[in-house]
Amino acid sequence: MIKFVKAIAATTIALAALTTASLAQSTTNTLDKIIQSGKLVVGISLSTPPYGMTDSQMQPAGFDVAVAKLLARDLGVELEIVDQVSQARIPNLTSGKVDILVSSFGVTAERAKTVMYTNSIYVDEQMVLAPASSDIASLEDLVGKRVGVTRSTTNDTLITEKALEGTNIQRFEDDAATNQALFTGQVDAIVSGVAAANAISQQTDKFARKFAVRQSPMGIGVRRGDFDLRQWLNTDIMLLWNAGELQAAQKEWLGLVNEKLPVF
Amino acid sequence: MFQQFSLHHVQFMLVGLSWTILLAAVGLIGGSLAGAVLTLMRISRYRLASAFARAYIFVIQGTPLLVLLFIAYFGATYIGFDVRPIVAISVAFSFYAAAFLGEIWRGAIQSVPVGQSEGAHALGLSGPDTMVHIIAPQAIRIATPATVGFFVQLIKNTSLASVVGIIELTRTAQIVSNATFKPLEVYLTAAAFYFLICFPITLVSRHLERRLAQS
Repeated sequence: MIKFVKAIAATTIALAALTTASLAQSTTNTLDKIIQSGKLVVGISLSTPPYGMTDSQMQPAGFDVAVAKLLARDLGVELEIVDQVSQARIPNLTSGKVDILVSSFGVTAERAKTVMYTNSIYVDEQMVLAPASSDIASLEDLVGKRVGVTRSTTNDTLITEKALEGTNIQRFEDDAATNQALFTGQVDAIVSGVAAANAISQQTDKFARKFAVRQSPMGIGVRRGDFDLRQWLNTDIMLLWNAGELQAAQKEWLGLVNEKLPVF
Repeated sequence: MFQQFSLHHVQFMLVGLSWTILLAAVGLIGGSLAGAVLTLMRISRYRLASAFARAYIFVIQGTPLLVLLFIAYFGATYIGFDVRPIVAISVAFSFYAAAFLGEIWRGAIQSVPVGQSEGAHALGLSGPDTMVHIIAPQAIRIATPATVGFFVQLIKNTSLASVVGIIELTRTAQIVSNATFKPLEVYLTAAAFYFLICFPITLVSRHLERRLAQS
């Protein structure tokens, strides 16, 4: 039995080594590929309003979709949107199923080990929302409370890292479920971005923004080593900003405009 | 920006429903074929075949379907195959279902009393004839409830297909609930759709069991 387990372990390690090796080799020039094929394949999560969602005709819509359309227009290629759940974002990119991620993709040091980011396209503010009547005002007040957050998001990373001992974090599949948990009182507060907070205040005034936790810049994800593509995207982000088109998309979908975007 | 839950959304979910039905059908057919082969290998006299089947079932039953899907879709790219989502899903579902069905059917065949095959042998029936005319009819009756239970479970497991980018029923429900912010209504609708697929299968199973019990 021990021999058998050892054999399995050895095979797993060998397979992992093989896959990483072939992954390193398969990095081709994505920018050339996009121009030659005339098609930009963008991974967007369509269940993350108002970044990725569907309009009343069930067509893709939202801030990420608007940005992807601008990029495809400037590249002079056709746009293909691939819907994805948030856990599949990075695997979709690294395995070459999509060319880039424009998917409410918050910048973190951990993610940057696996993929490269372009300059930011939006800076969100992560905040704690709770019933207007509640007296939550700081992280200390969350101790002993149930705090809802959407799984696999930077909101999740943030609260997991910052929450004090004794905070009961509950993770939900998507924003709709997280918001519903707040509405029905299953959680005492939620951690969310500005846009999701706006969505809630459109529906009801029973909940209020309690305090901001951190700024969260979002970028476009490209594969590691894809410097040509990253450079083109950074160039276009600058041009879109100068033309005011990025701000217009922010205003339309997120309800606010960043004064300035971080460049790195 | 946010919409009311309307007939439009239900139509969108119906498209998702047709994907769910297609995925379930692929899983059931592929899984049954591969499962039948696995059953025969498992009860075979050839020790190599039976050991292979045993190892296969051991590994696959111990692996979550989600992981199989990830390996079939993302893993295949790393070793140089660009598989389409539907292909990855067909492979993963068939492999997964085969392991469970193979084991259910093996158990059913082996639970037919040994006197039955001894009797058939005494009457001069050949091995395959014994299997087809004596063992299989009795084994099918034993295996029906477990098989149908597994089929229904497999249909509901198709909801995992959204990780490889297929917009099936659960994913459409997720998208609609995020566009309308009415999760309860949307998911209840999805639940009703799942029920509409699974309930007839349960009915057929009950009918089948009754008919087999009479014979």
